[in-house]
Amino acid sequence: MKKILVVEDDEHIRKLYAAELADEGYMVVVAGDGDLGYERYLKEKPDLITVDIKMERVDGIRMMRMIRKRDKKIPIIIYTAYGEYSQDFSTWAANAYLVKSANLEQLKKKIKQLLR
Amino acid sequence: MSQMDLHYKSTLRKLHILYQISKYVSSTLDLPKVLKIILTGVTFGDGFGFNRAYLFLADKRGRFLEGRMAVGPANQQDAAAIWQQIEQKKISLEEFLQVQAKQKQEASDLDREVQKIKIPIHSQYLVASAFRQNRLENVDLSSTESPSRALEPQIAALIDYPRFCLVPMACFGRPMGAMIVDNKYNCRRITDDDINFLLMLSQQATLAIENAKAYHDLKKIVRRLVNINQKINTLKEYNENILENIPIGICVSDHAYIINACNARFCSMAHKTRDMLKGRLISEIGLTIKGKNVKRLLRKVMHVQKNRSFERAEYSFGQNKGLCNLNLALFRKNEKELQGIIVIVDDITEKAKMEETLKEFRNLAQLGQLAAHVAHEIRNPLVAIGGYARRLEGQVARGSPIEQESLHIISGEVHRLENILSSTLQFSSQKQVVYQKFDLLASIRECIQVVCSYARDKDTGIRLSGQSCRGPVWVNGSPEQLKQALINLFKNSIEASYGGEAVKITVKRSRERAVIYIENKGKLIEAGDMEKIFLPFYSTKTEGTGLGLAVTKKIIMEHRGEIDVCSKKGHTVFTIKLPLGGGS
Repeated sequence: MKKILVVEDDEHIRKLYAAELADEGYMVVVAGDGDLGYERYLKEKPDLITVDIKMERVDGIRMMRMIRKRDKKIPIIIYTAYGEYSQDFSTWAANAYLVKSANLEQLKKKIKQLLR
Repeated sequence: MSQMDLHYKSTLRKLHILYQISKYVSSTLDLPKVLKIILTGVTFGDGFGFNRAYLFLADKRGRFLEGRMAVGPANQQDAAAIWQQIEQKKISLEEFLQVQAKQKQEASDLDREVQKIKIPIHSQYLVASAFRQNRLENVDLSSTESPSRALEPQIAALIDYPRFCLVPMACFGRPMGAMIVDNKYNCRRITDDDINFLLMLSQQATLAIENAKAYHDLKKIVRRLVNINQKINTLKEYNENILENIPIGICVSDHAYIINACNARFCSMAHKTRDMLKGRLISEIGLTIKGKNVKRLLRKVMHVQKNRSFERAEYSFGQNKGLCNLNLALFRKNEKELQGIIVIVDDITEKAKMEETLKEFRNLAQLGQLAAHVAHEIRNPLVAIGGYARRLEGQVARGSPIEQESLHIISGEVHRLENILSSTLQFSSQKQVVYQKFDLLASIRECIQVVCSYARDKDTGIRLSGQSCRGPVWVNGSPEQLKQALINLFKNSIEASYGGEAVKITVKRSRERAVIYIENKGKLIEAGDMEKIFLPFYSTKTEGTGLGLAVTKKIIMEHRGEIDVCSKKGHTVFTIKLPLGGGS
């Protein structure tokens, strides 16, 4: 079973993702900010990470940078409310950049594609 | 031959010499030449036959007599050689003078010597006092009868001979110089006869010198005048050029408001040549100011004698129409005297338009920043609401249609809100357009394809008109953004069309711009709505985000283009103008 780490500071959304992705048959671990996300990554060794950009304390970009230093291959999806950062080179280390939506189909499709 | 005959003959010869000297002297106005001819006549063997002649002229301030020129041999041998040469060549005075009149004058040793001499006019010495009193002096220093005054040591050293004659030269009673002649080398005595002729010659010489001097002064004055004239002309040209090149219309009239002069800009504004404007009344050349009577304004300015100005006045002039800053200024000759009136028309239509656009951009930028902030804040809760609604929708038992429908409505509305957020964010984004050259016509074809099925769903159609231009229409810009702008507009036109009436797209290429016409037959846009339809969130439709046309306008403006709409009798046309890229 593939393991997905969801890093998202909004609790409701975090729970929603966890439930939806669990329904898809993934094992889901969650973290509420970049710092915790990095800890979880080290401990859980997930197969894929989804991360929001703007979070309290350590943001998604910083966490991604820390992870990329150790692991160049793990798929990372930026899933955020801010569409405009897709032009920003600091987000280019991610494998995908998606704008958040109530319809999670696009996210699920991207995860499936990256885990193939 | 009797003594008398000889005397007459000699007199006649001397008169002839005088005539010749005066003839050649009057043939030139060059002062050194005049002096040379006189001194040559005096010393030439065939002439008066004096051995040496020196000429002194008063300086301009009348303080010194300055040695100017001398003619004669430097010493006894020289004298003998010269006389022999003349004797052998049989040169007549006339021939000699002819040569002198043409030759360029070069200073001799004697000239250089005499030119060193400078005698104070107001001294008590002989030459100075004789000059002042216009008195001829036949001096013989060797005689027992000593002269009335002592000779200037400088002169004594120069001449170095006791017998000489000092001839004063005066013009209209004003002393101007003196001539000294002697016979150092043949020691001939200077006779009374000689003196009489010298006096006559002095008269002639004085006039000739005065003439040459006057001519010289006149030449100087003329040269100065020519210089001044050139400067004045340059200055005039400079001033005229300033007026001509100023991008503001300026015209000057007299008291009766008749145009005397105007600059190029004024002519181009009036669509008339300068000749057509000159001599006409200002009030009759087609300049009108909204809400004002130009004739009355001019009269008031003249009457009250106070300048007036109007800012952002609506005006029309020739084929020009728009906004201007108008200035009516009094044209004064001096503080008391009025010459007329100056009319200054500064067209500020473009500037006003730009200011308006800038204002609009500022408003949009502020609105955009606020909108972006709100949109981001809303998106998270929206994702939660919609996400859970969709999740519930899948979990609610199939037999609960009311719950299912309710959840479906929630999801649908959340979806719509998400779309509004996307449009808002897009509208408010301040991304710079990344320019690239692309074929607008090809992009339009793609856009038509995209909205084709949408049109079919709405029972209408969309097509590219046969009147469109052929071949690529190159423009610079972001093809993606422009496509989005066009799709928004196409969809809008489809929605406004009556069933069965296809939207017609026509693309034309003018010299500098690509023009797209989007025509539909359907709902009329009310005159009051015409200006507002491009404003964000201004929509007459019940569906949609209210941002479609605002986004379209923003994209077009970012591409330095224009968008306009015209709606009449069930016929609405949107016109987009975009600057052409190179190679079209």
